[in-house]
Amino acid sequence: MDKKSEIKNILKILETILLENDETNEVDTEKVIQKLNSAFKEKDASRYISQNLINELILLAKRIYIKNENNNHFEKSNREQITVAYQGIDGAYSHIASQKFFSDKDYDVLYIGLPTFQAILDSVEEGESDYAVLPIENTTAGSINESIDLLSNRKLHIIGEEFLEINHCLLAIDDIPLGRIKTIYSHPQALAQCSIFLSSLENCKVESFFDTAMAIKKVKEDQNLTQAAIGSSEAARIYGLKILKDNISNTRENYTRFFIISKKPVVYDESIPCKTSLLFATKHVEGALVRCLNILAKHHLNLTKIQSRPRHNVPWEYIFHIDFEGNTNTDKVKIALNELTAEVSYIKILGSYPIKILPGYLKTFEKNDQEKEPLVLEDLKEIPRPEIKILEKKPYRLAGRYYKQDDTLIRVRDCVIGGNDFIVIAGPCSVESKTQIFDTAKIVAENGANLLRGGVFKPRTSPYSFQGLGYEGLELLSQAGREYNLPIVTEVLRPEDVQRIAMVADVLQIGARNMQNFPLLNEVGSINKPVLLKRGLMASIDEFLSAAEYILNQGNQQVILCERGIRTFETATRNTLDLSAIPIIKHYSHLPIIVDPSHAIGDWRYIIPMVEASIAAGAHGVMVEIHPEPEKALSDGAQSLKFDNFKIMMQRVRKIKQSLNTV
Amino acid sequence: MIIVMKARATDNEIGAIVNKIENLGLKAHISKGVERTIIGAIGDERQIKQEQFEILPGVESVIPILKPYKLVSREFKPENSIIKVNNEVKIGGKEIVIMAGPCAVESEEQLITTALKVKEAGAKILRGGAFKPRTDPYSFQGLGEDGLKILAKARDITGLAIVTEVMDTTEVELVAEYSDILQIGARNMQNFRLLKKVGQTKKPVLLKRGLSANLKEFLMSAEYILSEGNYNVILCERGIRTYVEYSRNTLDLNIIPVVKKLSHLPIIVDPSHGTGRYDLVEPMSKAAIAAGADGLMIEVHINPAEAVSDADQTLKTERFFELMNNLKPIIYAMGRDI
Repeated sequence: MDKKSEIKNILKILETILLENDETNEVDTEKVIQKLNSAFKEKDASRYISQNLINELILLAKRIYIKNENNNHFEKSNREQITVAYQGIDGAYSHIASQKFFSDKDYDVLYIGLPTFQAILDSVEEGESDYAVLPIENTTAGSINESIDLLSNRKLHIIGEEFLEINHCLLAIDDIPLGRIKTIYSHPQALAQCSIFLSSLENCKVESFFDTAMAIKKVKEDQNLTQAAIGSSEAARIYGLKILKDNISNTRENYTRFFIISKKPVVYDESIPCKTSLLFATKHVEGALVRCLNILAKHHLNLTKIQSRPRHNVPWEYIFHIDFEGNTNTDKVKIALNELTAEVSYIKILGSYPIKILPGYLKTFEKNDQEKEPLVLEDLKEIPRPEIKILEKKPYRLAGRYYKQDDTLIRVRDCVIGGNDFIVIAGPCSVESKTQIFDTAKIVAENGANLLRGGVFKPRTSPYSFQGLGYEGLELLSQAGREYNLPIVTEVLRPEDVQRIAMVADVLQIGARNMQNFPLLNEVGSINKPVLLKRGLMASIDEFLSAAEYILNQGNQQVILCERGIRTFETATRNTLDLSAIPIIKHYSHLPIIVDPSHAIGDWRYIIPMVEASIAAGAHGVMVEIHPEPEKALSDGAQSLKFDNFKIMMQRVRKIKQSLNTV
Repeated sequence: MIIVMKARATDNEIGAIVNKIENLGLKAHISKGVERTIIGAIGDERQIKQEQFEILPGVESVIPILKPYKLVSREFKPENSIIKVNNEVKIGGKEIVIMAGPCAVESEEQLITTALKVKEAGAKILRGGAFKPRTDPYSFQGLGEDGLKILAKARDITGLAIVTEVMDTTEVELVAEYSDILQIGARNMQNFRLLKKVGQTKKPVLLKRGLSANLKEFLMSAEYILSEGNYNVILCERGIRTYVEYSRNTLDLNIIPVVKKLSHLPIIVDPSHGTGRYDLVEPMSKAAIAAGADGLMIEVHINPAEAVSDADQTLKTERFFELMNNLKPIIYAMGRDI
């Protein structure tokens, strides 16, 4: 028997075994290996069949198992048909890739072509489609940036990947000699992938088109003998075009990789080899990226892709997209991601999905973890840190010191919160008018405070009180911030406003009344912007840190805590400022903590001493309310400082900070 | 009701007013300020009419005090009260006064060793309980008069002033014999008989805030002492009871600027009881000074692990030295001295 027929023989054996398993819908790896061994013996398969081949067969078995799992998933959802959205029209590569991924599944698939990537993701998010098939990179032309950018602010999951070998052909309405073609239409990616061939054509111009299939459609419809398009042989078949030249790509092996996107994540069994895709932002410190990658190396997680993308609205900062081999459902990956989370300022897990096996891809799985030396690079060995005494197990994990010993530093443009600087956030309780916010911003900037605050959505105790100017107010706040070069902080009340406010505000505030609004915490946890979390009126320190945990757990590591007074029996002051919470929180958590004396005391006359006390207690900053005319303020006038008092306050801040720094 | 005298009012004019107040069955309290004298008419004010006094010679104005506390209010005495403890130590002035020592006097050796250390570190007043109000009746209750004798001996050796708690009306005279300051503990803040009794002495009284006393109640307790004629009251914030789980109490520093606004009395802070955790003593001491406190009361022990009471909140003597050093910058930044 030659190798080929031997493998065929083995596959037959395997099929029999798997069909048996199909009835029970379970694959017991041990049992499969046992059966394989005895089957091989029985059929007298030669010794050529090594353990490696058995391993490969197991992988294959698992893939069939996944398919079954997926099928089950759909049977459960009680639908006869699933809908898959792709970008383009019939015959587009995305269409072919969709068919390739879904064709071997046991259900009817309705493929819908939509004009843009955005539209296909919208369609999944809104539940009109079950899946979207999104091209992510090409082995010749590189990453498709738009796809990655779109995934970064969606709540969607990657549940699979597909590779499509792109065999670009030159298509025309009839068999025309190449020399007569004057115009070639195609998508820029396709044009780039065929650049060598295209430059060899004389007297021919190249025009980029929105997608390959649309270009083909145009050639078909125009019926012009001098036009040609680049596309697949499949497209030629669909549109009845002739292939003038086959395989015109620059490289012979030209693949495009697609992500299969779903609204719900799929948890794959840990025995299935998976890849995990994620996005993260590093802190602005030396070696931050190396540290992150080293964590993967340390845990033997093979990095298969890394790419950086610019951060929106934050020039010269980047988000990294990485893929590595591993499944978030395994302990190994969980531990690594845990460590990674402590090193980053933002992390978003896009999903874990079964690896689509390409020729030559399996190699990395042959190594045995235990045999490998730990991969810690000499220079990056952990610096010994003072031992922190942990007295008891806390309900929070990511927020705790035992998870991350170093203080978290949060950058908001020029200032760093959580370090040695004392940050002052000042501004009116509510944005009331253009004049009011501009006048205030001017004073905030002139006196050297760091951030401008201003409420536009106001959570007021009475439903009849002024509720804020909304997005109109946000625009005013943002204009004032730009005018005086101050980052802005504003409160968000509803999950649906988070994305929109995050486009404009530098820091999103969660008010005391929303400290345990868990859907809102989850939402701000999924964005890459610092969050100022105020302590609830009756929240214990454990509850406070657990609320922060909600945000951290979603991937956003940039949480600034804010003590703003708790409710006690004392009525002489609006609340009781719990300054002891500052050293306590600094002991148990790595997150920065600032103080809001305005709400804690509720009387402008006592603000300055409490600002001074906050510095002395070790707070990383304060947030105070100031107003050009407190007596006319639409909210919280009694606790707002006038501009001249704010000036005195800032002088005191500098004086005390200076004196404490000299210790 | 307070009667504000003209800047140049004579002693005779003041005397006439005092007589008139006393004739009406009320008590007259005189507060002699730098510029003018203020006379408080305290008692059943229904007896008197404002106009009765306004027409008298030397009177500038007559102001009814709407707040329930009269003598402790700023209206009665616009200047800060400075309480003289001994020839050297005054509380409420520019100087931040540090009181330090063990929770309880345990032995002569323990107290004197501690006293020498805290003096060396810069404390001016030695604290130490001889009579201990303990939550558990089976806990160590203090050495009693023997403890007072040890305290007095420590004063003789070190020159430090002494503050110790008095719990019982019958023991006020005894404690006053030995101590420079009489301390009223938090649990006795509304023991009105005891307040009256210490009000009848001339000794400075350190009045600690009750565990769940609001500011008004706290000031009213001080009023009891002042109303008996003893104006030497030092207030002490030592934490209030809240739901917070990590600290023994919640130190309410908010009230410091509020007390300063409403009253002329000095206020100090006890971060040891206020937090119940030795590691919070330093940050909260700094915060207290920054908030405007006039002094601190800190528990120090030569060996906290062996202390018979309050070990968790007690600083080792070495750590107390460190604390005293670290407090200096903030004290100077606040424009105060030590």
